[in-house]
Amino acid sequence: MVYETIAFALFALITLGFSMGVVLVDDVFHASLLLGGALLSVAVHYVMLQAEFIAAMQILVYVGGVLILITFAVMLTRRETETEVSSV
Amino acid sequence: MTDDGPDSSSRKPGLAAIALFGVLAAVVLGSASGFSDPATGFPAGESIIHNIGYALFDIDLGEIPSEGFLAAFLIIAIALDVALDSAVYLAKQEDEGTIVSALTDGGQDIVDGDVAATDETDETNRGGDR
Amino acid sequence: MVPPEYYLLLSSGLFCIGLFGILTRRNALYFLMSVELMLNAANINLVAFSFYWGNLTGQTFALFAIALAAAEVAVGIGIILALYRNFGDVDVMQAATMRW
Repeated sequence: MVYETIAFALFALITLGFSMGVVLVDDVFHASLLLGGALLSVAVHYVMLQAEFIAAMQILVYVGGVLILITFAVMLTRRETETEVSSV
Repeated sequence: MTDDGPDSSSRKPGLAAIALFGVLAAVVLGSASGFSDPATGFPAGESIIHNIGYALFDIDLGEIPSEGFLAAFLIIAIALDVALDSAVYLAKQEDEGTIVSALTDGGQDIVDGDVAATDETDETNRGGDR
Repeated sequence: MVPPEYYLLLSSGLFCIGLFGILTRRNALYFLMSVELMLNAANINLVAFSFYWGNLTGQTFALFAIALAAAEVAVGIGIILALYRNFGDVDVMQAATMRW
């Protein structure tokens, strides 16, 4: 019981920390990587709630699909240097 | 691409979110005594994934109580179709022809000896499915 | 089990962080990521109370929410790419005209 609460508090801190990183970091690519960490730690919460299937779907759909899609959009809309080709 | 940075004026609406968290935390901690302490939990020896499948298709075989989700399943299937079509529609190039132009050769030059080479002088009507 | 009010606190914190990101950022990609955070907050609540009551409705509904979030991101990426193509930037404040 008390170990469960300690594990919950640890992973809640990890989740909230990654989420704060998502909204506070200025580089959008770093923000997308931190979003991946936040989603993975939410999957850990699902495992602790006996929802293993939801956790598997969370990792497959979010980390495998949504995060790849967001990273893809970050790279397509990136404008570091002005000499770069700006066509999408 | 960096965002607008730690500009002090642009962070001011975020105070509303922090205030909302204060209100939500007060409500949650105020009603914490309303939860009965021992959680029910799922029965041991019962496959949760099987029961999710039974709940998705309205089959009355599961031991864990749940609602039926067959109608929601079908409606969300239609919604996912709409989302797929709209994503393809939004991602297409608007000034490069219609949506089927991704399936064509893009109107490249007709090589010598092609059987369909009928009008070589017309520049606007040259090959492809513009 | 961890008391359910802890899960409520976690999910309200996650929701408010997402709301903070939406209110303070101007980049459309941050909007997309903040909406993901808010959807995850709702899913945590659904799964936590599904376990609390021993009822599978919450888990099934969380599955539907995950599927709809994936579709929402696909449409959002399309909108952001159209925004970038037509305005040359992904700043949501610049797209103030209905047509170009």
